[in-house]
Amino acid sequence: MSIESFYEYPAGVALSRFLEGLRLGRLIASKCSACNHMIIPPRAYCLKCYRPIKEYQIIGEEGRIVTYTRSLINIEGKPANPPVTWVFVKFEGVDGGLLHVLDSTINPQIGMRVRPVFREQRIGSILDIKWFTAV
Amino acid sequence: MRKRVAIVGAGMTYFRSMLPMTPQEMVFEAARKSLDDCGLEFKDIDAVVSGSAPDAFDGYHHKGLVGVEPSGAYGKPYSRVFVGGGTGVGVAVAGWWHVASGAFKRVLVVAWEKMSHPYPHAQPLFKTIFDPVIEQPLGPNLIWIFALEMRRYMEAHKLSKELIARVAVKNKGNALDHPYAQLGAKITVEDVLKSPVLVWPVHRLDISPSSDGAVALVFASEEEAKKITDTPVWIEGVGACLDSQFWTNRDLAYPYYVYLAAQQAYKMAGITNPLKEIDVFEPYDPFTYKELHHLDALLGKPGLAPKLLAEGQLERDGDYPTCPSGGLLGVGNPIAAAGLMKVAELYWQLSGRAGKRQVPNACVGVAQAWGDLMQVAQVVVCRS
Amino acid sequence: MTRATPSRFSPNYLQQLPEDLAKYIQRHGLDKELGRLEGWASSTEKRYTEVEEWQIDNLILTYWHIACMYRHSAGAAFSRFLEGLKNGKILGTRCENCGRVLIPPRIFCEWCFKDVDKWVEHPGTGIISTYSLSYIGTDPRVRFEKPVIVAVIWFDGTVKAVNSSRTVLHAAGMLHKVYGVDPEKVHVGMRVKPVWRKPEERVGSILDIEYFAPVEGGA
Ligand SMILES: [Zn+2]
Ligand SMILES: [Zn+2]
Repeated sequence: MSIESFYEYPAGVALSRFLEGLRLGRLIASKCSACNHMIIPPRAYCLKCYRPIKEYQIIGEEGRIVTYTRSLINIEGKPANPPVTWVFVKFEGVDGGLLHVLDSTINPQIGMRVRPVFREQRIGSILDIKWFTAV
Repeated sequence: MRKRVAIVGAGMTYFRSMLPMTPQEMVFEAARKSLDDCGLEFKDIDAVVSGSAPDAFDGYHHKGLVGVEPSGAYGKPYSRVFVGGGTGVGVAVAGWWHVASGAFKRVLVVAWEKMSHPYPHAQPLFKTIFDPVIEQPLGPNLIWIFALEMRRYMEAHKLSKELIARVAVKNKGNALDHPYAQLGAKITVEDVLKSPVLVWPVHRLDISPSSDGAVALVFASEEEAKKITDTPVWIEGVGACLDSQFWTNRDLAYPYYVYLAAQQAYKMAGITNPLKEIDVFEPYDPFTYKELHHLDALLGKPGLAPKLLAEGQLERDGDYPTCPSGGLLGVGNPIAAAGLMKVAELYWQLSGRAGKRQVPNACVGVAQAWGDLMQVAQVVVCRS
Repeated sequence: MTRATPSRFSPNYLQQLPEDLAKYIQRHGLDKELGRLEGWASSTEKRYTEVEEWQIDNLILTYWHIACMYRHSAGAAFSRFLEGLKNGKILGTRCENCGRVLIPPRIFCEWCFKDVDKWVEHPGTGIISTYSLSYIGTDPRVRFEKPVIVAVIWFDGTVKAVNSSRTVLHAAGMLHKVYGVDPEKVHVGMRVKPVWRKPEERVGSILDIEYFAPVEGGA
């Protein structure tokens, strides 16, 4: 037997802004007007004071690698050639962070300064970022 | 010693066939409103109990996690309760345990559903509730079990489809007065009978819509409740009962397990004659006949509910107002949220906040949900 | 007015992606036109929230496909049951404590909470306990001209009325389809019997019973 379905996920209030930002080659965070807390990916509500969010801001694209791992298997569970380095990147003054892939020519280090490289064609997807590369 | 538990706040989103918000955003809206309703903040909450249907509907596996952030459950005990279609009332029952046990003073209870994610439709996913070895190979759809149960129920009490269709007319009519309803409408028995037959005896208008939505309630201990509000609604009794998954082995005409769950709740609440003592009934009505089927069991009298319906007694201004909210048929059916909406309706009715839907002098109410393979019953009895 | 925009993996877009990811997306059909754009656009025209701050100017829609295949073990009782079907037999178990015949079989009695190891064979004749006429398939968009009769069959001699705290009635019974009768004429209480596939066609499945058919001369 099987469980099978296509899924259509509306990105909602906050992530629609985020994905629209990626399409335009920008990183968008949410900012609470009450307590100034900023977070990426953006939320529609503040995680500090639990008020609804209405402000979204473009943030500086430079971040730092918080942690990384090297995956030897790909999305199909088969050997990845070359191996894929996954990084979690945090941005100055912004809570949260982004999980993405690192430039395959770069040796990752924790604390390394990185920036996103956007693809030429963009559709409003997390894949619009090709990868993060060293600054 | 069991603590007394009160509902002190409630909030909900619109119920719609497609809500553009994410499940997280829906949970936040409902939770924020429930706290605003009673003047509390997220930091005032000691624990969160959440409920949502199978993960395949939202398309997030382990989807309990999406409720954590928007319900402010960071650093607090958080659990997801699941008892099939019974989850919406089951989550209220579980919220009650949290406070009645004395372990927590203020608990947020939240349920949500995002049925619009599966494309093109959630229906094929429902097939997987059937046994994979001896039932799924027959190519079932969800409506089979309802049609089989409905036919057996009709046979047991010689009920006509015309009579049963009046449940849809009543509930969709009641939903016209519900500000968050998806399908409030003035329809006729004719409309129901003329709507397409899907699995006879079930027509399209016998079925509640599939919906997105979220509902949240705030529960508090007696001491806290008195500080928070002048109009607490007390949860006086809870009941829960499951029959076995071997549903072809029982008589589908009467949900005895619903009767047993109701009896547990009545005993706790000191109710001996539900017909006399209860002012508002919110039985689970995903399909028209289900309202009657469940009301029979809540009253402990098989076949009585259809008679009361025929006499017009189940109308909002009748002697036994049933689904004054508009029910799942009228307000909508975001599975777990729909069940909790019924408990929210008791809160609004019994605290005198039900607006145009208000049943005069309502003091005692019962809400019930049902699910799985015709085997789950969850019941809550409230008093103002 | 709110727009709804799909983030669709067009063939051009896929060219930019790593090959294994692009192939995965194609294999799952995510490069096709999907979705209900109009539906979503109109969903944002109705009131969708009471949170004033929540304005959506452009609702982005993303797509994924989940497909899991499962191989279910039939377990002790159902394995023997399926083996029986392959041999043209309907097998059940009987609880020696409460006397119930259990079909579908289990190796425990959930009433008595005891092991059950006595196996019995049933000819499969019985009555229709309830039925329905399905005009749609598992996919609700598939509509049948002539409905499929779906029924719960209760097997002869196994119906046991009880006033226990558990239920009001037990019957050995099975979900299956009924053919050989006009949908207008089928009724609760109708006598039926199993119609088996030919022995060489049976595989140890519930479908080894092709369907149930009215017993001639039965009411
Ligand atoms: Zn804030
Ligand atoms: Zn037994």
